[in-house]
Amino acid sequence: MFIRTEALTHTYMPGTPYATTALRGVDLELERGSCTALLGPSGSGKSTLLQHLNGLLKPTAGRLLVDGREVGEDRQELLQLRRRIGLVFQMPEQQFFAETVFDEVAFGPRNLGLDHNAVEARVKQALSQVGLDYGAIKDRSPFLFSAGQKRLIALAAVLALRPEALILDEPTAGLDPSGRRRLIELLAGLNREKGLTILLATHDLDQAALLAERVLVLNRGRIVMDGPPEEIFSAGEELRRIGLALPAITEIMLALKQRGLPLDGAVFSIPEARRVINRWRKQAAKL
Amino acid sequence: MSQPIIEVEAVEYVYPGGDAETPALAGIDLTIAQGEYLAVIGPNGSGKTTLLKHFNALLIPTAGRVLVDGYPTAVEENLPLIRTCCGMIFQNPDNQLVATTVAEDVAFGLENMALAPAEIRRRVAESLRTLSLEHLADHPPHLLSGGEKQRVAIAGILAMRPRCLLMDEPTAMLDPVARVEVLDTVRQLHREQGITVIHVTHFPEEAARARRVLVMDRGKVVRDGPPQAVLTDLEMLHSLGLQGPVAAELAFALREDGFNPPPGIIHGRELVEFLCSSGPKH
Repeated sequence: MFIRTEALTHTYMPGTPYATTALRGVDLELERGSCTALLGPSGSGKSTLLQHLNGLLKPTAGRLLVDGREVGEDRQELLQLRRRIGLVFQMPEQQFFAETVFDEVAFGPRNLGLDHNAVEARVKQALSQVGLDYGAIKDRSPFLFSAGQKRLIALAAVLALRPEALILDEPTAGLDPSGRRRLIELLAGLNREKGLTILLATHDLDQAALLAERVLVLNRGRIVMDGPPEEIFSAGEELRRIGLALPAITEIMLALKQRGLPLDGAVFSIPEARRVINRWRKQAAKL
Repeated sequence: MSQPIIEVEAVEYVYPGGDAETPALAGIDLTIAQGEYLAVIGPNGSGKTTLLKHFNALLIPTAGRVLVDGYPTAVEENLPLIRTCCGMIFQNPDNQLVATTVAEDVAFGLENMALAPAEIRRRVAESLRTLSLEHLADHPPHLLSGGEKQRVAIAGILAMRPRCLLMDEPTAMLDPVARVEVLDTVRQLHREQGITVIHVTHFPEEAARARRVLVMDRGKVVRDGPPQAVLTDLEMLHSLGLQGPVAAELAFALREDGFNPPPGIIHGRELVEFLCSSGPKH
């Protein structure tokens, strides 16, 4: 197993009146090359879980294993782990600091002690992976790009470390619909073509339904649902009860089902909704 | 139309160091009446946030002028009045929390308004109750979840009793239920207290809650009308890289299949009603 947690528990400010247990015994396995969406209401522990997977937070109980090896305290090993498992924070562009796009993306590779040519090669490759034109943007300030482009630059900065896995916290928050679509297509491509393992925490259910082959639902620090999107989104009542919702199109189709539309499972896309509705009408016309 | 609360006259804005050829705002004229619920949509970089920041004098026009409740934002003496009138909620609540407990955070703005301590306590309690945050009053805000933090930020603004609420993608970091909670709270404040709401959003479903929708592109207002008209003009929205509400998109697709839904469908329940009343009997 690539990434595995065993009874992972995390308590913030333990031993104080504000002690808050964010994760309560999470057992999770992520296979190499998989693409998983992590859903959960605000405060369910999503960000806390993500920050454990590259060793940024240490479990207060339980453990993390990567390729079967337990992640411990060794500083060198932790640094290595953070290169292998790239974490993209919420609104990562808010952490930009460099004067040029080149320096922003080169920060990680330079810290690896690579020489100039190797750093340049990585920056070039990372920017092209996210669909940006290296020559046109490398000398410009990263602060002067649109929100969507800044997000891509931030992603490139993580890709320049050539990670084996990408862990993303709300990667599309604040982007317009075309920016969201572009980022999602990009992630799908990295997963399919480069075999990058992807885990993304998101509130965007449409995104989870379209991108991920597996959906995990976290509630109050525990994984409460785990399955393919069709299965998870068929459990509308349960999702609503814990503070989640269904994709808007799925809601409309369920409302129609209650009024007589024959439907098994859940519908996530407009083309599929259209097919189901047309079939319904044709069948009725025959009667 | 009731009294205007915000008047925008031929406003242009160029960011310091920005290119005057491509201003962030490129000539905007707009009047917003007291008590309106206005949504502003548009691609990233179209000027939505820049425009919103003009409404509480965080930015001052490079050319033209903005009046809030009749007071020009360029006049420095007007600032306290303008900022009390128009409270701003940002996208990321982390940047808005300042105190060591939730209650102190909500009181922060009030202390700057020189109110009596008893009045401050009353307003803090009321605000916390409105946002269902009483149980967190003594908690440090930085340990709250994103949704809780955003509700604390809104409670702090509400306690100042603004007449106009400026919201810049206030739900971008919230889960679906918290999103609806926050927006329902805002709608209630709008209906019961007549508070003016100006809501910048990337979510067409959220824009569908407004009574008036502005579409911005490259620093200009390219469309201004009721949501039933603006959010169903899918050709225009798609050309800007935007989307309509899912119900509008599905209604549009079904029209190609020979269905004939009435114009102006933006909510799922409207489409469901249409399909069940005109659709096949079973």
